[in-house]
Amino acid sequence: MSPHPPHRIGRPLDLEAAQRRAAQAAVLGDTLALRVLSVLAAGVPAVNLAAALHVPQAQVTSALHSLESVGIVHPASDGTLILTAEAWVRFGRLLVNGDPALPEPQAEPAVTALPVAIAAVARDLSYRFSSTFSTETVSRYVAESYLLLSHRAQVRTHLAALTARYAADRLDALASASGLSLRGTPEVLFVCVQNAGRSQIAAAYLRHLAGGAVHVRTAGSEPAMAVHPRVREVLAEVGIPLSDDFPKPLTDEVIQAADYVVTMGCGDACPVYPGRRYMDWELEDPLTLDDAGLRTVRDRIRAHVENLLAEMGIVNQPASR
Amino acid sequence: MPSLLPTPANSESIPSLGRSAAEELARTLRAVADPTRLQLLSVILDSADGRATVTQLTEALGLRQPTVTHHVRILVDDGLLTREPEGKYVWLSVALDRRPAIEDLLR
Repeated sequence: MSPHPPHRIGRPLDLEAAQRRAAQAAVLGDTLALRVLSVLAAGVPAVNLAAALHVPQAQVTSALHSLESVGIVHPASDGTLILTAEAWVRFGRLLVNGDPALPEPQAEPAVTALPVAIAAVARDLSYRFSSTFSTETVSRYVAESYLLLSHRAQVRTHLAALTARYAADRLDALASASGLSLRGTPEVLFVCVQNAGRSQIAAAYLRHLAGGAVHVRTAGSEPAMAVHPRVREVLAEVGIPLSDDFPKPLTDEVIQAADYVVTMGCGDACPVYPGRRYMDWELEDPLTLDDAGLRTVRDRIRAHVENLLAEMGIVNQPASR
Repeated sequence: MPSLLPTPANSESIPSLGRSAAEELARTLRAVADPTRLQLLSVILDSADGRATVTQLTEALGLRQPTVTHHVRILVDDGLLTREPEGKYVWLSVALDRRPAIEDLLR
């Protein structure tokens, strides 16, 4: 066999995950189970399925049992069987696309026409994906995802959460498919009190040293009106441009969007969410110090940023822009 | 703008799968109801340009070539994979129209 040209080979889904999905697909490979799911997804209560499908109750019961055993349906709080979130994400599109009678979502559904909760999902995801996609793209995906799910969903109270998860999954996939993989680009959030000194210096260094390899955001627990001019000067001394960042309040979505959260003097104000790496850098507020003290803090921040880059496995590569 | 209201749940207007659409879809699901085939699809989708050769799949999954060839044939026959000969290589990629559904399933 001749050697291959250079070509990056993907990583396989792990075996356990593949087995679970294969088991679900196997259950749905039975035409009756698939039709039961489709009618259930269309909002027909489980007790009416036999009548709706014109098949004996025993067959429907058996199909529902199979669907439940692989986590495609589960009992709602009132005991009736409904689709799991996982089932919506993995099979929702199949159930919709398999039906030519359903209108395709419009190319650009108006976000303003969406329920308040869904519009909020669009705003949150726009923020999370802002380094990858335009607000318009994110909003369109959210609106589409909502329409896809809302046509089918029986329990409407979870629709916003389902829409958020579904749209985020789709945007992640779109990002990978477009070579903008978000997973490959870690996001770092720097938080200090005023978001005018320490966090701005850290962000400037990280952007400078990592180039496009890291997304950087900043926030403050009590943001000031503007970045302090002394910070701009002390960075200019060492040839580090201050980005256009302005002091911003610390909000849930910035934390949730981050892979690494670095707090500097405000650890208590920063809520902890699972799945994120938290670090606290002990640094004095440089704006209370004289110029020499400010430079010392600046250099200590640079050392911290370099350690962070090493920990993230990113080689220093000064930004070309 | 499609209506955002829930679909009325009477049997005349259930927007569910028809019997023939369900049979077609069920056949596709049976083709992917195998952990190895799902792993093959995941490798292909994650590879550069969304394509890979049988040799590369063999290496990525640590399987024997006849095994990979067997599973690939099933996926090609069902229209999930397309073959694209290029010089001495035959590239396999997920059929464009099936790609969204496969990506959903792998999530």
